[in-house]
Amino acid sequence: MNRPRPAGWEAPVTVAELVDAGPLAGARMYGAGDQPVHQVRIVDELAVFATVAPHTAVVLIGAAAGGGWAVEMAVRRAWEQAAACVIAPSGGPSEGSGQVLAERLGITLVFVDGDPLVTAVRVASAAARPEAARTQLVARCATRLAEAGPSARRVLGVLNAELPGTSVAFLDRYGAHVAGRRAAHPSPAPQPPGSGHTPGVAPGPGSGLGATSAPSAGPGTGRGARPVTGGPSGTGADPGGGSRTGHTGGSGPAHGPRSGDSGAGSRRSSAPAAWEAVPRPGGPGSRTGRAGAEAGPAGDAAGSAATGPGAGAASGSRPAAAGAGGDGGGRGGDEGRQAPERGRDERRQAAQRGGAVLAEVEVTGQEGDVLGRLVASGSSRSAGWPAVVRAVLGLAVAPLAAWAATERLRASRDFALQAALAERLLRAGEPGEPGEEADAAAREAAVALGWPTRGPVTGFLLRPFGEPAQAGSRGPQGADEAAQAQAVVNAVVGQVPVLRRGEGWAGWSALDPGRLAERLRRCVEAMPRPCAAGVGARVSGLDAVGESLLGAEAGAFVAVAGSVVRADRMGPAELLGALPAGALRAPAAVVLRPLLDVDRDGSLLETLTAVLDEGGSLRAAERLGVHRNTVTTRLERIRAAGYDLADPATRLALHLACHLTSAPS
Amino acid sequence: MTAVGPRELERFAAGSRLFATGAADSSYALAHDWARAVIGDGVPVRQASDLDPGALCVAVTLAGSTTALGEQLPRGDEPERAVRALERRLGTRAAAVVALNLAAENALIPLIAAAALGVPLIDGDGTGRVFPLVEQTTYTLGGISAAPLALAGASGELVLLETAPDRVEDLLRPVVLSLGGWAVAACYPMAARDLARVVVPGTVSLLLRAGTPGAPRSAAAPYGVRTLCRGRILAVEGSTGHGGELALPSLPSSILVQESDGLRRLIRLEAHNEIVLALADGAAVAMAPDQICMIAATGGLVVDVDKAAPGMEVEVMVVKAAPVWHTQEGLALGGLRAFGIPL
Amino acid sequence: MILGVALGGRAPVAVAVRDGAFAGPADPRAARAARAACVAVDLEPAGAAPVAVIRVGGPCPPVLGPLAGWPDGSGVATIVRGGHSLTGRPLAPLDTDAVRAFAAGCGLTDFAVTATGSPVLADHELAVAAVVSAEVPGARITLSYEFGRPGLREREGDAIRNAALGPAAGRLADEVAARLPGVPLYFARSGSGLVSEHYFRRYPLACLRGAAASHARGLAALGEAAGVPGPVAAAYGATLAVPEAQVERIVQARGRAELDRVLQDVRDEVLTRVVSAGAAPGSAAIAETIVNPLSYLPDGLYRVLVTARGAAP
Repeated sequence: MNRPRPAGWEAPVTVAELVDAGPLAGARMYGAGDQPVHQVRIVDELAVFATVAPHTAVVLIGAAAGGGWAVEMAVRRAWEQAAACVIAPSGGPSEGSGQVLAERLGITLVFVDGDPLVTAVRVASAAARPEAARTQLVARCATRLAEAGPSARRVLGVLNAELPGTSVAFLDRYGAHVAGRRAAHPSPAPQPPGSGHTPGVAPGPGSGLGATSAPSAGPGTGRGARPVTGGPSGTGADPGGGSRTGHTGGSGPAHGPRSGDSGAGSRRSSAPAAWEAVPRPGGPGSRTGRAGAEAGPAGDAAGSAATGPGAGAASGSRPAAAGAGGDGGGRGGDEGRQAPERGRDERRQAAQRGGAVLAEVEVTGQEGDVLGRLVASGSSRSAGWPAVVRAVLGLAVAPLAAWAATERLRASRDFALQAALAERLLRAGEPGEPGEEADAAAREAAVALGWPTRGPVTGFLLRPFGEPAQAGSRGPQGADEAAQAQAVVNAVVGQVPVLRRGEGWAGWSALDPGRLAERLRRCVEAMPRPCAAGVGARVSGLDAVGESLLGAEAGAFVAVAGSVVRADRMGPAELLGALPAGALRAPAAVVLRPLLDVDRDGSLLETLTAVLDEGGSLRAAERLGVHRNTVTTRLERIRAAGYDLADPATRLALHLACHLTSAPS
Repeated sequence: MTAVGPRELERFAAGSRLFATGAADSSYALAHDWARAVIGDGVPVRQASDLDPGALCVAVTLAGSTTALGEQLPRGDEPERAVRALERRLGTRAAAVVALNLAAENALIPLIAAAALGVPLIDGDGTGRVFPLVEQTTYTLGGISAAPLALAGASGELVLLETAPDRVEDLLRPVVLSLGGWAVAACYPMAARDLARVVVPGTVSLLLRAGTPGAPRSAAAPYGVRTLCRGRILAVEGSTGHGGELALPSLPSSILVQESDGLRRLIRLEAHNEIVLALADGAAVAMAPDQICMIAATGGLVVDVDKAAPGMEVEVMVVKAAPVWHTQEGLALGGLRAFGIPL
Repeated sequence: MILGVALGGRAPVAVAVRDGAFAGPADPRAARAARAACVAVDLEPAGAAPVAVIRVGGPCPPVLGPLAGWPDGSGVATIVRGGHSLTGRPLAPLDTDAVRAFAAGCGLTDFAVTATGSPVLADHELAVAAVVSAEVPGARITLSYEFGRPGLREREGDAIRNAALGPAAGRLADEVAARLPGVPLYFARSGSGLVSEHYFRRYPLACLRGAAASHARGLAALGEAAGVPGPVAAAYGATLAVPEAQVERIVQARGRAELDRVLQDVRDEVLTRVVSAGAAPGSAAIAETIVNPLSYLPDGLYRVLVTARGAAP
């Protein structure tokens, strides 16, 4: 690391940092872990606590770690001494109750599997030189990133593995997820880090666990998932008995035979064991009715779908996180409202992990174009941690740029590859299309290639005229010329896909139709043989680009060689102008023959054209500068020549023939 | 002829608690359950004078702490083993068992011993009340030596002490501690004719009467009882000692009782395992060898010195000791000086 | 608003207490907005679970054995070698093999462990707990030293009763928690005081007669207001108590300084327990310390009973 270290780099490590990415990795942590650790003290008897200084990580050994209330007592003494945390060997019988006490006192309690003395030495080393520990982490990340090579997935894999407790996602420039951990990243509208997010509230029990594991509800908090009995007078009737398998509550059956909180609500109305309203002392003893019947279903801050009144039957499948009934669920709900389109799992994970953005780094390609952003989120439990995360994210930019360059080089060398990719993207939105994984891969590649995949896009089509310039250049696939077209389009329009459409080549761009038409004009000029191009209308996204491509096709069809036609500007004139006048002139002459035979001065043809163009004799008379009766007389002569002007088919044929005959050849 | 059968046992046990100190609930309940399981149809109760004058009588008692007995349970053979050890030493079979005192467990364990040995229990005891030391008995006053003395411990230990009478306590105490805090002692082996001379007679029968439901508490006090005061315990202090040099089994402590009515005196009870002196506003109003005890206002049980707690409502009672304790020899053995208080 | 809840009658009865004043029956719709709920309940021995009883000590007459005199179906029991004398001397090494074999074969998950001498030294009980939890995953283990009473049989009885009440108390706590989601729960102790839901699950015995104690307290506080239904008085009485915990031990100390030190350890534990029982950490304070020398034992053995109380958070 040559660049100067950002602020916070030398801030003391926190307990959470030690657990997330330090010597306590893999340990079970209860509590927020936000206390800085200045030193370590090994405690073998409680008397030692009298001399424990604030911000000390206390490592319990021997009698001080022995069963009974030893760990709990240490937690309380640690609280008295403002220690940073208590580290105890795991497996003791008091783990469950220690956890409750730790949360009540706000003292972080960490259970480690290994030798506590070894742990103590490592923690001491990390606490003594926080910057060294962080530098070490960053250096390790650099090595692992170098090993990962130019692959977005592997790079993100390294980031998420080396920054535990932190979720790193790679978002494309539209804010859509490309790779990494699909966790609390900002909603699609890019936001500055931190804004609009709940601050990193520690999600409570289970927060030190991996992202994929279900939240472990602590004693008392897991109650929602336990069997619920029918009421004090009906306990015997409950078939569950499931709570017997629970120890201190944390291990209660997650999906026991319960009817859920809301079930209890609905059951309450019929059960005799309702909360009973009681008369005031000394009052006449009038009952105000069974209160329980009015009590709504159990509150479910998570806004889980299954908890409407009387939805008891469905609530058994509620995710455990919602059952936690506490803050975790509530945060999940907030996240969900911010990003309603996101899946439930994602919401839940966001709730679990705390959604604050710790660091965000823009990823640019080697050409300076923006590929997307790396977003790291999690609880900022240490003043130094965001700086470390930012540094590590910074290390990942170069491999991601290299990944993009590699992908682009590959695509530029292989028209078929990128064309197939483009076809895949076009089909991805269609329902029933198999291969979600392939779609994800295609989207990932599109990010590397810099293709537009979200937001307004415009389709285009490049149409060649005549025969290929060089003999044999078409080949069986016309591969050479297609590659040429791709190269020209990429050079002039930018990083866009190019795929075969009929005789021509199509694609889409984020440019608006006007600017795209300008660029295509230069493409048309640069192509070795005559070409025309059409530009479709601007559509809202990739799923509608097919429509835009149809317009582009039409535009290209009506465009004369060397020109570019925008479908959104195309009217009848352009369509009529595109008719193959040369080929149709002879049949037109046949159709008009009876008329031309009697039309000595061309006035009949002129009048017919005017009437059909203007849609009536009055306006035709005005256009021709003659009296209305003159027009009527001439129309009579035309009818006399055998034309039924009331027949729409006849009118269309005549109109077309007139147009071709009167148009300059 | 009287016998202690299942029905009498309940009365005997109840009577044995009326003025008993040191009777922790646990050890008493334990001895009671134990006795119930072993007495069978009943243990005969005999007067010492009714026995063959030459027959060997042995005193049986719990030595040590009742708390320890409640914690480390007996194997069940301790009383029998202790007596058998003494028999082996003397070469004679015991014809009867007598109690050292008749307070709670100490009334029940001789009964258990008698049942186990199949011999009668003597109607009488060696104090007429309780003293903390094995040698503080009317047997000693009558010139009988506590030794040879056999101790049986809960882990199967057996110890035989043979020493001068005034050394018994010295030797006994550390041995009992190393046995875990309690043991059953068989001691004061003597002929029935000697026992008849030194025993406080009739006390077993007395307790059987006093333990009958409805009987007044005073029925358990053969020589009279009076109430010193009713009041509330204000404080319990580990006292700093009384200037004497006597090594007593436990720390002395001091209990302060505020009289609830009347003169509202402040009563200080000085205790060495048991209360030996009562001072009312500084003046001595009762002292050993008379027995001073606190009876809980709720429940009516004797409050042990080590269970006394501030806030308890108690009645302080004084049980008059047998006349022999008020002789010069009796005062020397069981009076205040014996407890290290130079009054 | 604090909710007082009395269970055990035909239906639960809830009363509200606002700013420390009795505010009559609780509006059930507002009940879940309560700051805390204090539950008064008498636990029924009828729901007791069978218990695996382990006594650590020497042989004894059958009449003094574990579960002797208990009703059929109370559980299964064994005596394993081990324990300590009141002076802290090991009586025998703990027979861990016997513990393991019993735990594996008893077929029960609620254990009560009582070691001779545990009020002085709980090492063997803790060691048994470790063996049992390794052998029977998820076992709930009550250790008698937690109840502290001197007297092995009484302490063992407490441990057995506590273990037997565990499953029913857990179900009860589940049920109340389900009715009042998000409301911190407290349960009235048998004597005075409250404990947290967590503490109640661990030591239900402390709340055996919670309703009776609350009822007496409630009646006293409501004065002679005649006609107050019993459950109302109990529900109100429950709200009048504060978190409380007690530790009883036998300690050994030679001299004042050592006694102060060991007393400090006991105070530490009771303060920890009262916080675990629901006291706001800063409010936990020692309410009472009773130290009595033990009679007829060597100098320096004391029976210590320390009570701590605190404010509910």
